[in-house]
Amino acid sequence: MIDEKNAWEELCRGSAQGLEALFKGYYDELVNYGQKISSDATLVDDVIQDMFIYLWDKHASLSKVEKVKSYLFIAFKRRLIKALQKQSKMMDGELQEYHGFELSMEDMLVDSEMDQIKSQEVRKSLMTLGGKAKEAIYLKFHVGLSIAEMAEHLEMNPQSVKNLLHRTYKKLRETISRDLILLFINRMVSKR
Amino acid sequence: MSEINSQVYNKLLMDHSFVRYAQGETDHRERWDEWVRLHPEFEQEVKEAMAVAKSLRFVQQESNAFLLNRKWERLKQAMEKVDHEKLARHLKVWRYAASILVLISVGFVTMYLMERNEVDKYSALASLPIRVQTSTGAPSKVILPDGTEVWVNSSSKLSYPSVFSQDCREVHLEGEAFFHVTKNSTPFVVHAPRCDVKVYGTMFNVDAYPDEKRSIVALKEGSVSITGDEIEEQFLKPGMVAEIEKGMEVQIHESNHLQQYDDWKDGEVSFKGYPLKDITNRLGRKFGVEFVYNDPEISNYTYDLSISTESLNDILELLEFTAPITFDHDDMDSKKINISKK
Repeated sequence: MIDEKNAWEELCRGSAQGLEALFKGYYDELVNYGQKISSDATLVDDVIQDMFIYLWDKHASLSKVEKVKSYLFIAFKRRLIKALQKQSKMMDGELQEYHGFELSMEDMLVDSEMDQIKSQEVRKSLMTLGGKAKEAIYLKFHVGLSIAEMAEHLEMNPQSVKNLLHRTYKKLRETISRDLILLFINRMVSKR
Repeated sequence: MSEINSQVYNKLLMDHSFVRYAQGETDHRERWDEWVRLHPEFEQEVKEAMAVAKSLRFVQQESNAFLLNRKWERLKQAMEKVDHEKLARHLKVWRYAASILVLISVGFVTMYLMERNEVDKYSALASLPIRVQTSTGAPSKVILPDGTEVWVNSSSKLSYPSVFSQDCREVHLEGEAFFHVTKNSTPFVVHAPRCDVKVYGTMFNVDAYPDEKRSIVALKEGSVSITGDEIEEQFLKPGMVAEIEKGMEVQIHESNHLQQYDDWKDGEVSFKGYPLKDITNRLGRKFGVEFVYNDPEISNYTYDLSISTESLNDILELLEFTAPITFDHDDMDSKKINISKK
């Protein structure tokens, strides 16, 4: 964990150490997140570099930020989407909509301690959800953003973010319950 | 599907500390162990929430320290390049200012020669006022006949006689200017909207655009006084700032950040606690654009902002970053920019 507030204030004062702490502290998380929006690893890396150069260039104009991590993630997402749109425009002359957030089973941590079948089911169910729901789950469970931060990030109002999560939780639960019933039936069968 | 209390189930999954607990982190273990023990009625809800939270763990690819250092070195090189470019940009601004100076000086030399050649015209010239009008985005520096230096901000008008009279040096200002007045026994007076500023050899900034609500006089060195139709003469000491609004008492306060009032002359603009309306007014003048508010409430939001050589787009981006507002153009060449709530 880095002291992000302190690092940000140092950056605002023009200290390269502040920028270094933020860059090294969040580089990996930003890469991981960016690769779920675009599979172009070079582009993701370039956008991160550009964003930090921007922060350095404009450090004197930056204002105080309460949640530095959330700020960086939002700024990064906007920049990445802009870059993707620019790229697609250059390739086929058309502005493509941002097509969303992708997850695969490889993005999920394998847990030995946990009931494998159960978690497989939850994850499979997660993969069938829409891009926004996937991204919401990722931002909530991995990045650790608050509802208000997610609202800004997903360009939705906070109540809609809550509703989206509630719907998603319900879907994920349905697989477990189904799983439990199956387990129950299996047990009944094997007992006989 | 078994019936559970979905409110409790949702609440648990919304709670970061519960999620961390479910995923095996120890930081809140005792608290949640206790909670679970005290709420046996929610056993099923806890079980399912835990199962879901446990499943929702993501792989975090981590680069090793060596790779991360290499990335940082690359960034550092780019930062150095930016620093060099910044310096070059500043030099360019100064070169630009210098070229305006040369132009104005040429004007004075011409006038001086005219004065010498045709003595008769001398009196006519003396009464002929000189007008300096700056356009949007182009502050310029003027030297008055007594050697007083004036930096005139964008969209401002300054007029003064080509030769000052024996008993008073009078200039008229609409807009913003920073004065470095040459000391001599003749009083120097700036007539501005809402107030007059009497000067006794000094450095100060007058910010008095006719289309704004208030005028602000900030004194850097020496001594000035503020007067007006409805105001009694009041003296300022260095470091003091006077705010003059029509129909209101003059507000005088001390400021530790005096340079924010005149840093525009070095190409920088800073706003501390300004309403958005005033900021967009300034940006409009500086860049020659017009801002349209879709929601009047936004115009009262206050901001801290300082800018130097950024483009208008950069500045709007900065504002969008720090405020719940968005800007958009009707079309790319439009001089109108719409502001709405995010």
